[in-house]
Amino acid sequence: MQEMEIEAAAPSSRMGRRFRVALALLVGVVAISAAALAWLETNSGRQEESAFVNASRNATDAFVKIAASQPRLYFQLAAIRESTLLDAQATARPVELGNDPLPFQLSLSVSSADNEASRRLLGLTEAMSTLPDLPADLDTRASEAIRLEGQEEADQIYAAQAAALENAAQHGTRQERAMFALGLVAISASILGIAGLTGEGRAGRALLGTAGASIVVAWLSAGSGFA
Amino acid sequence: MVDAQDESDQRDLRVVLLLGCAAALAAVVGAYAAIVGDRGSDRWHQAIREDIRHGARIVSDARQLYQEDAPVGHRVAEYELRANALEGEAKDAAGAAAAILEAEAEAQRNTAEVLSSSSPLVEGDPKHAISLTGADLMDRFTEIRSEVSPELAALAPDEVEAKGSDEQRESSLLVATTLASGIAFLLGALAEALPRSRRRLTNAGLVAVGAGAVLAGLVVSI
Repeated sequence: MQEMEIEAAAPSSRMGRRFRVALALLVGVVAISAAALAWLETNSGRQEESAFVNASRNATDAFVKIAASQPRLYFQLAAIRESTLLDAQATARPVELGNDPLPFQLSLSVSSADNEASRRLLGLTEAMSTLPDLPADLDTRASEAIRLEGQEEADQIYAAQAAALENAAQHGTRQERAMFALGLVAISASILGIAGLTGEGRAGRALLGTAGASIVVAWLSAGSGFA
Repeated sequence: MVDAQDESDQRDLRVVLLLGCAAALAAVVGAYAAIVGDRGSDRWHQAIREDIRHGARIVSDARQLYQEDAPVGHRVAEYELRANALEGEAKDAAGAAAAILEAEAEAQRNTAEVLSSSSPLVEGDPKHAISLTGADLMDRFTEIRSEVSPELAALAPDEVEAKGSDEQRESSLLVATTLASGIAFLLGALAEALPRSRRRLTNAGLVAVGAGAVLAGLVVSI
């Protein structure tokens, strides 16, 4: 077995006009395809990263709103509980005493006072828990962060994040297909180079056909990312 | 014969020049697009980091308001309300009962005063505590938010992300302008294959390279 150079394996032959034009056209198509697919790959990558950034910021937003709203809700619950306990204590106090006049009278008076205080305290709790419209000097994000009321609002943020991740996956697929297509285009360019060395002939025409087919497959691959 | 050879050599050189210019344009524009795109990507990552810092501060401020200031204000109000109610009951009572009720009311009021002195929400005024509203809490929240460091106050993740998006868009458009180089390559290759049309094709190719350079310049300037 001995090594053989490609020129000996497939000796060069003269190139006719049709072969030269076909070769030139394919070289040009390869160059245009490379530029177009490079743009497609760059653009898809940009949009994928943008979607990931959106998803990441949505996740941060969700956690900030949940973490910032919980203290307000817990304060409201604790304040209501305290007000209610005051009332319960006031109601239970006279029951525990006997019929001794002074302690019983004092107990009734204190309980009556605590009932009144509890009622007003509940009203105060409601007033403190009611959020006004956006104060002029408070930044919008901080104001919105403490206003999360329930799971439904959190679910809206989760839905936005899920949509962003789906968008990222879609553009990621397009980017991968475009990169694969660029690889095929690079192979086509190499094949065309060998076709130029080989010249017209059965081998040269086969190489042109292979290069052309490779370019078509490259574009089909890139296009499949949009399906 | 010699003149025809010279003319042919010159045409070949023009094609080589065209292809060289197209390749150089694609390389320069592509490299600059990569730098700009990388810068945009860095800004996006910076926006995420700033977002997290900004959000963490909001959570901390909300905790201070609703886990420290608001509960203290509510407790001051409770003491003050009990004091007011006990005073009312003392007026309806007589003798020892009235004295004890008045003493208890005074004790509640003193406790409210002591506690209120440590509360930025009621600022040493227990009577203010019993009329607190959500608007008062929001004013206090605004006050807490204004105490952030200048570095933290300067964070603007939305603006940083927008700037990063602009740079990424610029990068993408610059890569798109390399299509002109591809067209120049096509015309240059055809110029080699079609000697009779070589001059026209070469000139068209040079126009394509020029148009690509102008478009890239427009993208960068805008």
